[in-house]
Amino acid sequence: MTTEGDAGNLVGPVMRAGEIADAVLEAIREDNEGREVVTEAHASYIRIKVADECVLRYETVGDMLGRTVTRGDIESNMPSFAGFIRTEPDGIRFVAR
Amino acid sequence: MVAEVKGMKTWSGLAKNRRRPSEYEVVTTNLQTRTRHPDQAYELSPAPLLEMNAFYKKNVSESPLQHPDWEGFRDPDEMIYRVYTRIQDQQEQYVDGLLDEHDELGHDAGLSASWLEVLERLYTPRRYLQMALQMGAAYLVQIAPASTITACAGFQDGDEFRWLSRIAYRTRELQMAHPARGFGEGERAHWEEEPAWQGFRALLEKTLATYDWGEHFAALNLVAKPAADEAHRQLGRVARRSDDGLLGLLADNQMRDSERSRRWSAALVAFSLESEGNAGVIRGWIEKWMPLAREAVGAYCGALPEQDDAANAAIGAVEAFHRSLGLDA
Amino acid sequence: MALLEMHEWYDLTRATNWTPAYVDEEALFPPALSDPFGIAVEQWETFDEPYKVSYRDYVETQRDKDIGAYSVKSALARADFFKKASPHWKALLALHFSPIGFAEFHSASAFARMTRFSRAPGMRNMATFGTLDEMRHGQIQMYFAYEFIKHDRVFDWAHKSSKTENWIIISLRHALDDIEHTRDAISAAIMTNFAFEQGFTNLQFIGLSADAAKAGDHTFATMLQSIQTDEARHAQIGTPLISIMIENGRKAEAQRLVDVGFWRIWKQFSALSGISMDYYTPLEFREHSLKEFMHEWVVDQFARNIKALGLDLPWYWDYFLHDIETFHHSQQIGVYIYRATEWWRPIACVSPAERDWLEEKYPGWNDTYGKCWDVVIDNIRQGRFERTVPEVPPLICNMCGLEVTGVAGTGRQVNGRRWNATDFHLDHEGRRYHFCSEPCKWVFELEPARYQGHRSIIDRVLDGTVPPGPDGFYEYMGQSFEERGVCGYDYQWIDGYDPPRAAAAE
Ligand SMILES: [Fe+2]
Ligand SMILES: [Fe+2]
Repeated sequence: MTTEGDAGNLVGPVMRAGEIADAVLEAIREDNEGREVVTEAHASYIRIKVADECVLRYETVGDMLGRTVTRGDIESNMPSFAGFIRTEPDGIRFVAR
Repeated sequence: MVAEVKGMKTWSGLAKNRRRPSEYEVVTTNLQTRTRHPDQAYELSPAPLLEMNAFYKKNVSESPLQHPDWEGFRDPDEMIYRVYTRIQDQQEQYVDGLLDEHDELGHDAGLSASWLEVLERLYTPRRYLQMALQMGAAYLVQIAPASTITACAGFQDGDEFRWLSRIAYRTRELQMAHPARGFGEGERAHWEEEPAWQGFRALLEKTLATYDWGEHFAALNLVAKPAADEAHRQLGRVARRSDDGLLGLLADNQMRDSERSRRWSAALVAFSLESEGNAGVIRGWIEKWMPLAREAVGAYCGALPEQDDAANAAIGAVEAFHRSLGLDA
Repeated sequence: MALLEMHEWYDLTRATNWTPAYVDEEALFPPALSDPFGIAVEQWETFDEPYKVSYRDYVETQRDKDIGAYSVKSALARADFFKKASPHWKALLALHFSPIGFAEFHSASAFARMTRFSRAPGMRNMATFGTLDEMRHGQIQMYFAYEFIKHDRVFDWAHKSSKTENWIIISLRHALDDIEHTRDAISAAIMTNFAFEQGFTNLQFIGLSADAAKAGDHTFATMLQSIQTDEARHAQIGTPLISIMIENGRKAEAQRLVDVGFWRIWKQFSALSGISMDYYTPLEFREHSLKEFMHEWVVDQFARNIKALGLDLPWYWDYFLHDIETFHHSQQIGVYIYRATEWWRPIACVSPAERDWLEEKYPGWNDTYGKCWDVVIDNIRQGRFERTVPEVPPLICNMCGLEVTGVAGTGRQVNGRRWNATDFHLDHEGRRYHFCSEPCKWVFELEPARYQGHRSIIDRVLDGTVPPGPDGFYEYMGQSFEERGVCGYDYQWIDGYDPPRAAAAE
């Protein structure tokens, strides 16, 4: 069991299970190259976590799906996230602080 | 064996209706908790112990505007969230189309120097006015004594932000097309100092500082907002004559939202007239606030170029709205 | 397209502060509604919304969300699902939908307070989306609750509960009105957006959606998560505020707001999510226990944010960790035995297999809560159904409005149940107030004027507000005879549900 606030500063989105979630995971793997991407699957959602900072770029998610992906597509499938969020023109950054 | 389960036709609270409740009624009525006890709008110490309970009591329970059952109010548009986002998405798509098309035609580069000066002084500073209108609608959301009123005000709050955003967008476009001018820089100074805006600024500041819910509704939705929007309609008219067809079209689109506000406002007035005494109260408020509106419209429309009676047209439209409310004794 | 990108023009939407000239600044922004902390307006103007959305983008995204959430299954298929659902799932749906429609809609007003009275322009705009979002949440949940009413009148409470004086509704209104609706824009935002929404809504709206997905209730699962995608956005209003408070020497005040808000909302979720997850969810669909979900969403994910922002964990943290494992178990006993005071059909959910699960998730459960249930079970087995209902009203906390319990199994016997309950009480201005816990008492002591005039349902019985007579209490709470809860399994759960065996009636 975790102790409070001590999950090794893992940050990243919680995605509703489905094709967008799968694409987001692939994209995060690509955009955070060289860093460990931890996943945790639950019945209706999946946690995707990277230490300290996790970058998610809409274009990379779109590449995985073969279609344009917008901020709204991500938001509609992201009921939560760990860490703090920074929306940017081309994607989202999750940071531990 | 499980316990017996029985159904019913509709919400018990709507069962007395003759017709089947609409989706709007099903999802919008009776969601208010503030009107159960005049001293205790909020489930904590009653007035005067808890300041907010004293505030609500003073501004709602003891407002001159009274009705035994505000929850009975219905929005004539029956606007619900999932329809609002659909309609406004369509409207925003249309506006995107306008902006895109005009950008391709090099619209902003073709505007005359004298018209650019008008835009700088009398158009882009409107985002401050929109902010004030947005704040006013937000006050209605939190103070209204029925969820059906809160819903109307909530969509109005969204509409005001819609136009604040579009003005910000246009400001930036104009700034990019004419970087030597003051677009994007000088709006606050114009709003705070330009004589043409001072009437509206006074009207809105005073409206925002009016906390009685009924008077706030009357000052904002029956006077200040219609006046501010009618003045904008006049700007749109003048824009067309100054080869700024884009602003004319944007203003037209904004008036759609403004008219929805007037429809529910008129319906709320009509509903409140079911209770004796309210006609005089509302009339009194309109009479109290109209001089400020006349001054505001006069100053603003008077500053428009080639305005041929824009002020009278704008005030005339506000007065026609008032005549439609059935308030005449 | 030659349209500008949002970041090219967005800053202008938040350059909207001006200096009032025709009324006093204080008349426009009364400190009691706006900012009682006296932080300079230039400081509030540094508010940078972490999650930026334009209106244009908002209406498009939200339209699409609703298309998705409303069309998972046809109304007919949903009706069919509901008819076949077990008393477990029906109780869970009733518990979720009854209080939540009005509570969410009411939150639109809390965001409107921020739009009207905040001095931070970006916050005013984000809060406008918050107002719209909460109207959505109220309306979509009323919509789905309404689909069930043809089959089950219990769902009438989704619509009627807002104005009733039922004790559970009083408890909820007290908490929400306290943190969301009766404070200045800044305090309410820190309490609502940070402590409540970032802290706890994930539990009910994502955690429970996992159970719903397993149960095959895809409409419910999708709706819950869709709602939560809005929360994830507008809940971000809280974090920049905390930073601004800390930078301006108001850390202690921010800390207090978090501590109070977090505690008040925990008590509500403990009962709502605790009972839903550890009891009402059928055993085979349980993804995690409340305790596990709490550790995932709150003890890990949220506590980390508290610390990263430069605040401390609430002073009662150790007690809170203990409360995660205990409070809702006591509440579940109370909710079952006082079932007539509730409008749905409460169920016990302590069949042999369910007890095994509880013991596994909460070691020691059998020796404590299990013992209380043994008494209930024994009475049912003997056919003494009347003895499963207590004779005297419970002691109600003057803060959270829930039953004063404690850990079961030891100590004083009350209504056939033994609690080691400590009666936290306070004598204030001539009367005695009772609390379920030290933090509830602490919240009261911070601002007695805010709470002292409120009477709990039991206070109302004692002072004559509730009419006397056998039906007076129920009528006061808005419950006609048919609206008084009965055991959802008609007592036939004590040996397990499948195959259902009649108990003493055999
Ligand atoms: Fe919500
Ligand atoms: Fe929310």
